[in-house]
Amino acid sequence: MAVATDGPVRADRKTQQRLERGEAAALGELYDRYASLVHGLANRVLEDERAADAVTREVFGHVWENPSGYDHRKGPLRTWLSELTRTIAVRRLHAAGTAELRRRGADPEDPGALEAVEELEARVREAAVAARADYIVTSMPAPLRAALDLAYHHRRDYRRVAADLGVTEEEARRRIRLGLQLLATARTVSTPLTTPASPPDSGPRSAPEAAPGSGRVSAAEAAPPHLPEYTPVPPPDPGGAA
Amino acid sequence: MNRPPQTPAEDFPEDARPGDGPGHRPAGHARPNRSHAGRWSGPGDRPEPAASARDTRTPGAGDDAPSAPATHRALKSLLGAWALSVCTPAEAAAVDAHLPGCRRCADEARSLREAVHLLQRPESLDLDPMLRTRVLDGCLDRRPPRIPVPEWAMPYDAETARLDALLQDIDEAEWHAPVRLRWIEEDEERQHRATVAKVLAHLFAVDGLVAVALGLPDPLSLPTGIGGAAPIRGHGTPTARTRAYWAALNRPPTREVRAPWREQSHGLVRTASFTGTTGGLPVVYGPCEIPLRDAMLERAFACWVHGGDIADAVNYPYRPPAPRHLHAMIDLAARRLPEAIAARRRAGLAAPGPGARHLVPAGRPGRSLLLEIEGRGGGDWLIPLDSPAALPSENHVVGQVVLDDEEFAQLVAGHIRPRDAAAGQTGDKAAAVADVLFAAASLSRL
Repeated sequence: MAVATDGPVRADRKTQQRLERGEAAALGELYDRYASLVHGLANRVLEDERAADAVTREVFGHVWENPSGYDHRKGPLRTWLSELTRTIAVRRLHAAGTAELRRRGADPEDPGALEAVEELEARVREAAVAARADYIVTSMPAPLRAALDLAYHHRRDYRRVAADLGVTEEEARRRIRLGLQLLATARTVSTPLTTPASPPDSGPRSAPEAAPGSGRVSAAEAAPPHLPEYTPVPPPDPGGAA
Repeated sequence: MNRPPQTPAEDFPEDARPGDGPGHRPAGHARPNRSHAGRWSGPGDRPEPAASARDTRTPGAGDDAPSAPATHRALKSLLGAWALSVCTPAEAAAVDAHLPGCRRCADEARSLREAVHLLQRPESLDLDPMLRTRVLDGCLDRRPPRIPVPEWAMPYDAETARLDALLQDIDEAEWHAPVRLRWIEEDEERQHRATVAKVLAHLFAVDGLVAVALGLPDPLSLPTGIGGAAPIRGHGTPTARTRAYWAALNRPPTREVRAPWREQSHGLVRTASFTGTTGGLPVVYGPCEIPLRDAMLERAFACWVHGGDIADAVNYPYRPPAPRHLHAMIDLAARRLPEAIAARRRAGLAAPGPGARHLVPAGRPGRSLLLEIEGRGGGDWLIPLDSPAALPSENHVVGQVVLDDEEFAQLVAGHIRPRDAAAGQTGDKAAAVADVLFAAASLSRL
């Protein structure tokens, strides 16, 4: 395991060091590698291309100004960026929704408007879950992703999945189940509206800090739930009885 | 157990959609929710009436009738396939029957069913290529870089990023789309039939000239991608390097050329940033030597031109570079014109002008042509006609060329015939105008 992640970790730290020493070329490379991920997640939350553009600016601005905020021990750079994106996008969605409620005359502090606030927060939560699910799909082990892709997008029966991937039926069932288990974890952690460790300084476009009603959603990021271990199983011996 | 008639999976049109290649995410097409109707559906589950019929299909592989599983372990292993409705009706029924009596399986079943909805993803948006500049400029305003990308490397940085964004969006088959490369050689139009991947291999090979100058690996001597060592390493003209690289490839290039090309282009920008702001490092460029700053500009120009060729081949919109970048590229071409005029004269392609009778001494003003380029990337340039060493002079202007910035760039790229560009040009000495236009076109090559 350590061997497998050693290379990427070193590459992530190298990128961080280059950003820290103010190397503009490193920023360009970071953008080229992650802009579509960041923009895609932001758009998933906000469903608005312009708003996703603004979040993209904010995320890269934050990273460029605070490269030391990345802690490689907590996971790859990619995960940090996606969490940052989700946090900023969700906060923006929440701020926009709160502003909209205010504009319509509903005072979010007013218990009478509780229903509207709860509805907004449910929507914000769903958007955060969707963004996390997108990220899980793009970062799950390729064999799991391939099995889910065949079963879901190409509507293959699991036996066809097994045949297409050249694995046993049991292994196909296992991959499909593990993939869905991983995906299900998207619902089990919450995206805080205010992050304790990395509050992105959003500058002039700043969303109101501690948006009203955020208490219910802002539980600290729970420890990741127990994830099923994935160990690749070699395809069955083609010479053996299949 | 009676099984419903075999329904081959091929009956489902979604199975064989030609557009569902690996490059296209099928996320956009609305996929019917194929959940089983029943109490185990999650809260967001809205089974479609038509969908239940699809559950009756049986696997296409294996003709032996699988018996329904009975053990807890076997049923548990089916939960994923059950949640996605990709098992047989008999298996699904066995799971359905098991769930009310098994709390753990029931919890997992509900959680997996809910997870299925998360697989549906919206159509991905193509990133606006102009967003990159806006984002990076915004960042650099907030925190000025200690090691900036030099001004003269910025066009290359931007153009390679733009081309890479295009390449990210095309699918496997499009890498083999035919591309017709056009250029002008000895005043004649030349063509070469290539593919998208082959054009990128060309950019990769020629960029290698700059890589070598910067101390980076030469793609022509890299073991990856090419079968044997290429006969030309380090130097050689851009065309010779390209032909050598193409010849050294064991098979036609594929999309696999993208990663090394991108790695090299990132490496060039990164390394160039550490060479200082003047960009005076000499780069051997075929028979001549040019400073790094011009070499990077030339590569930016080639990247844009061939990016346009590729975009045309795959029907993708491709805009001209940012005005300040286009201006820098045009400026480079204007600076190269006097030498190109002299080269055509040496080759006997241009009649010696009146100036040839009394050669202008180096450093003295000579006959000049006013190159007036319109558009946001444009400007005015005085081109000395008699000799590259002569000083251009406003008092000796014998003609004027007025062209639009993109049009001039296309002329330099060899995409517009000089005769067509000359149409409507005025000048006392029409020959001088023609000389300059043909010289501009002669800057083009494969």
